[in-house]
Amino acid sequence: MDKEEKSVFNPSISISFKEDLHQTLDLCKDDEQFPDYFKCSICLDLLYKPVVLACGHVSCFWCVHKSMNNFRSSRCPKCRNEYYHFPCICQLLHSVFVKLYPVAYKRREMEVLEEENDADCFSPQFEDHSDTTTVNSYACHASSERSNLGGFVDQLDCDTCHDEATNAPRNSNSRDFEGDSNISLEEKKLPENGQVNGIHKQLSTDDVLCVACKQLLLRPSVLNCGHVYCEACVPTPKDESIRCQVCQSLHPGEFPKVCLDFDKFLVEQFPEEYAHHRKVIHGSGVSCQQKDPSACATQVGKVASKSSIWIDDLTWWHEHGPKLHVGVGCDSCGMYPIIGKRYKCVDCKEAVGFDLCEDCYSTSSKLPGRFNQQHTPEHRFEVVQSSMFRNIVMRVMGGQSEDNSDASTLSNHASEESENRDSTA
Amino acid sequence: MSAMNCPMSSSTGGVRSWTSTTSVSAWGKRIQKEMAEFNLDPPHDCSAGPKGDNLYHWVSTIIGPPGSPYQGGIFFLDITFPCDYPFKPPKVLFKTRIYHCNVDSNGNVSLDILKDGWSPALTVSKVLLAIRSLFTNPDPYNPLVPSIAHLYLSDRVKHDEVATEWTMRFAR
Repeated sequence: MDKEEKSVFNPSISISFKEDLHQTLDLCKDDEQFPDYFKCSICLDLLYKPVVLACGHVSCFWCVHKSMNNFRSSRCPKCRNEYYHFPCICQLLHSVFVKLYPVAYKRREMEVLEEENDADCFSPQFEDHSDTTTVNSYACHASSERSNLGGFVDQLDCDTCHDEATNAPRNSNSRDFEGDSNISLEEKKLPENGQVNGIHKQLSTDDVLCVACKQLLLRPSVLNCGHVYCEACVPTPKDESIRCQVCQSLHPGEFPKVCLDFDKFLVEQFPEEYAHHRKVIHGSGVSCQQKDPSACATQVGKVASKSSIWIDDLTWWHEHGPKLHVGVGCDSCGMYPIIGKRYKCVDCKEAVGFDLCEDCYSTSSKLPGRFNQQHTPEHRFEVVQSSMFRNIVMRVMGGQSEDNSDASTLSNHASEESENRDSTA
Repeated sequence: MSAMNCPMSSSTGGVRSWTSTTSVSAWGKRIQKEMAEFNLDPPHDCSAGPKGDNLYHWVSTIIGPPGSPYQGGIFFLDITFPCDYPFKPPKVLFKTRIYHCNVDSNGNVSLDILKDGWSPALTVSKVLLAIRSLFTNPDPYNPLVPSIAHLYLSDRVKHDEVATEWTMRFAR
């Protein structure tokens, strides 16, 4: 029965459509195989510029960004855990992918870059720290510098850069993708040195070290800034929030949960080293501080209590609505949408703009923008009050609450809602 | 492919910081990937595929699961993907009439994951499974057709009889 049904539909797929599909599949056919846990649950492709949420789930930069809620807190697409901050890209994972899946990652890079060019809005571009790739686009743009790998490599790299430069003229100074140089190097090195492919494929434990204990990551947890710690190494001051030891930026929100997908990968990739590290940790009596394993459960419980959601919603809107900047995020801590004062850069020319929340403005964050904005500390800011859009929202949500006394209307509304829910429940 | 060139959706209107993002065309690939995965491993008793050459419009069937009053019926569904899929849920419409408290006479389905409960990590295959489970476990507390829900709660035998009769009449 099942099969018959399917045969009803398949012929209806027109030929042109089939060709398109095959083209798409063809593009992927040279890709390296990557495990399912490195497949983004949103675009269903290899993770590109991975972002790790506080719940430990990973998605691509754009996938996370696009799935965030403009109006209030967002939820993890996988576990619906609530979060307010758009985390930075996890550069460690990014370089792991560059090394492990150069072809697939390169394909992703090209695809994403094309979209970014169309939208004229770019994701952060990374400096190339890989020591095998001394050639980068700066070299050929400067044209006076020579690469230590010979002219041919330079030529090849220039070609890539040239293509890219025509695609993204305004972005020419950021053409130093790791993947880019890696690929061109690989193509070159194979015939030249006769070296067996896989210089970069050999991922060593040095690539996956904890920034604190400098050992192989054990139960990796990723902070909002994108830096990766062992779960036990996350700095936890008693009285204040977590601050990254590397970049000194605050980690807002809950304690980061272990990125289980990454953990699984480490166990598979370095079984001996991983087991050894675990043994050392447990043996030395520094018990793996199990940070509140119930935290996730309580979160879920909070979400599950259905009748309180509306009351929560309304009190939340009542409290934050007037200070909310719809669709505007802080380029430093990633708070999205910004609640409170919004500082907008008046000198940044990019359409996406550069904004800071009050906290980040007062701590004069030095981080670059989230979308590759060319922001400098000399730029001036202006304070932007929450847009008038909130009035509309307030009216919709609170039923003309501006005119009446806010509290009573809202609470009446809330109790009505909860009654409705109860009666149907 | 014309359907993939639909304009960028802008829910908040105007250019706002952070909301101007990548073009929608990129996400057409996601539907293609979903289709490939669906064909590789289709959920039990379900089928789905694009209608004609429009990637954003699918037709699907679900076979009534055994043990339910919808057993043996073949139910056709229309699935329409919004431009900003997977960030907005697909629209699912029953094309076959069905006696079910969560499906109204126009074919609309009340299912939380097709509304507020949507998550971009969900796929057509998961949606179809959820709908299929509605066949065996209707949700009479969030009904679209209150009269059917009422009958389901008060006289289950009668409800099942009518549902079977409708299945024989419309879904065979």
